[in-house]
Amino acid sequence: MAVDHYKVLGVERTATADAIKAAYRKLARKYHPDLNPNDAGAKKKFQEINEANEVLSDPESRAKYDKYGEHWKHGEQYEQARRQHGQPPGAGFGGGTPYEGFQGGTGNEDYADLFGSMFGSRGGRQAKFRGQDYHSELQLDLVSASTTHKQALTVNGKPIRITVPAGVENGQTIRIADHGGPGVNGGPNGDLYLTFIVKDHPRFKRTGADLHTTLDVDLYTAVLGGDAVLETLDGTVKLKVSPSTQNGERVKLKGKGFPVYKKEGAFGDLYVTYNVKLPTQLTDEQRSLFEQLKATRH
Amino acid sequence: MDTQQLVSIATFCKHEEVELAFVHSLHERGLIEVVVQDEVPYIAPDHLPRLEQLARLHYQLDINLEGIEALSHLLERVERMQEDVRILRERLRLYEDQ
Repeated sequence: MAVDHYKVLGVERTATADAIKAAYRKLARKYHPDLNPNDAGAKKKFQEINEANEVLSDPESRAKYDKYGEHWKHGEQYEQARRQHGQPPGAGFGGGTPYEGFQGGTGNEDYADLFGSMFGSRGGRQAKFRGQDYHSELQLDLVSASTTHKQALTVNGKPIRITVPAGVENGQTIRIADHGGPGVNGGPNGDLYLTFIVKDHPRFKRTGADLHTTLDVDLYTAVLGGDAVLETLDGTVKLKVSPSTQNGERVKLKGKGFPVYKKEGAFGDLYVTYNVKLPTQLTDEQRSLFEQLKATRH
Repeated sequence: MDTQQLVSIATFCKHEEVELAFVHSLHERGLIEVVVQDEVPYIAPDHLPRLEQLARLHYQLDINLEGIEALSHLLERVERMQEDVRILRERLRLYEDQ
């Protein structure tokens, strides 16, 4: 759907250049990404504002926009084609509206161009613009997030290789300098902001560097105590189950949790909740023994 | 810290076309950390994003130093609160799944 640049800036079509500039400044201060961290909505709005300002702050492009609407960039091509076809003004390529047949529009402009065009009012600074920052997501499973490893990914068609540090959190964003969009006129490249999406694990839940899991133990081990084997993320550990362990009881295995981000050798704890499984199919002998046991309670 | 990992403030200012006085003012106000080695002021790579952000606020949005100081505190609070929300969501998920 076509965006009305005047509406985006909240000004009348007859607004003066100063009014447009003032409206832009006001909105830019409200929606600038630096003032709205991690707010995708504000970023999108800021891009729309920049786009509107780029068009309306330049008298020439504003005049074309007023005349041709959203396809103002192709307005001259349209006029030329119309003259070649001997069509009257307003007839358009297909004989319908003047804008039929045009594709694209202003959706692909480099964000950095738009960003820089307004703010470059200080002497000699207009020409160089920093490239656009890219935002991307990288999905990891819990096991991969627990080890420092290299990962190859493609961002905007370019392959890059990064080292994912052990212990990254779900939703955590890291900045990879210089891997964003190219700078304009010698300006520096933008940065790549990579957000990790760590998928849930079927057996382990994570809170920070701590892990939580459940372990089934049979009734006899729960009552009398004994050994149990627990699978962790990187192997197995042998657990001593205390006698009279209750269903839902929780024990902590210190240092058996998740690695702490960027703290080599530091690990969180693993919390194990016992799930005591009762026998479901008793033999006659077992049933008799349970009856005897019951009788001893009095 | 190894100076190879540090970015000299003079280099940063030249590259970003930022006035040295602006960076010194940020440092004086405690908004950025500066490391001085052999009488040369450097900024640690970890602090570069904050410096770049503050420079954008000043040069692109025309926000003065007093405004930047106030905004910087508010942004730190916003970021801390976003981190708290993220941690709380993770914890909540643990109970929702049970």
